[in-house]
Amino acid sequence: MRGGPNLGEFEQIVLLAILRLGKEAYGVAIRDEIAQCTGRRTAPGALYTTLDRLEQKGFVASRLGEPTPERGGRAKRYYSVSAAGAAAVERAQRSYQRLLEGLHILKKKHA
Amino acid sequence: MPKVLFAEELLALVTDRNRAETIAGDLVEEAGRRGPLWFAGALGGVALALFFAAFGAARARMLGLLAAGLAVSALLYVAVRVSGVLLGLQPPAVHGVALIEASPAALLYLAASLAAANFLTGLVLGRARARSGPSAVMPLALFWAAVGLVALCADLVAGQPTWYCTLVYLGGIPSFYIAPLLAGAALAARPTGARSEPLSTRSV
Repeated sequence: MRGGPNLGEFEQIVLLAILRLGKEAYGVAIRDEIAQCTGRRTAPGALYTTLDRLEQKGFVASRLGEPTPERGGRAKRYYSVSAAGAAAVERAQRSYQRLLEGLHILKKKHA
Repeated sequence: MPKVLFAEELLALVTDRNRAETIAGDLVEEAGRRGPLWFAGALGGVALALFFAAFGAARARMLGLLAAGLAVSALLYVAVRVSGVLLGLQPPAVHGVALIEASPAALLYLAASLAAANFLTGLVLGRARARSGPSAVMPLALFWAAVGLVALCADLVAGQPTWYCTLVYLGGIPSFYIAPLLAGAALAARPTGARSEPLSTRSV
């Protein structure tokens, strides 16, 4: 392990979805973004437990927005990736890159 | 009860109220696209996922809460039954009579005693809830659900399921144990002051 706790695969996906969404990252939008980018429908329970875990690790921060009528008057919780979270994603992606080096499997697929 | 309120109260038993509010809002928003069946499944899934995540993080504490819950539940059940006897509302015991042969009045009293004892247990455990994390009532509610499921499976595997036992496991336990327990806990945990301020921040 280099420079901090490791991230699981789903944790990386969630962090990347939050980064892609920017200031609009809340529960429903994050699930939609993951589905759109990966074709994978995540269970809401899996997403919320992962967000809680990432928040406890200090990889994401959250803030409450304004309540809206289509949500029964309940506020949205917006998430953002902290500097530690961004560094953890980068570290994990570099690990994947190193593992891929020399395998040429991506080139073969696109040939 | 509007579904957003129901969802919020249920989720407030497994996580802090702020988080319960926002998750309930997410589920209601998405249910607008996906329908009520999706909503029911997603709500149950989220509640179980949050509970088991907390359970995994503090197993000993959850087992302690379960033991305390069972003790409170037993004490309150005995208190309700003894009160019934003292007030002349019921016979001292229904022993020697199989449930199937008991009179409707005796069955009704038993069911009401169970529901009342479990509702009171929910109130007591709901008051004693931790500031964050699952309510003390959740391990007990899941214990009763597991008891019903295991008993039903045991009957089915043994090849001797009877309609009245199946009715007790599938109808009696959810209606007279779990629902009153959760209702009591939700009532005890309801906030008395104003709703939380929007735009507040949490961590980092």
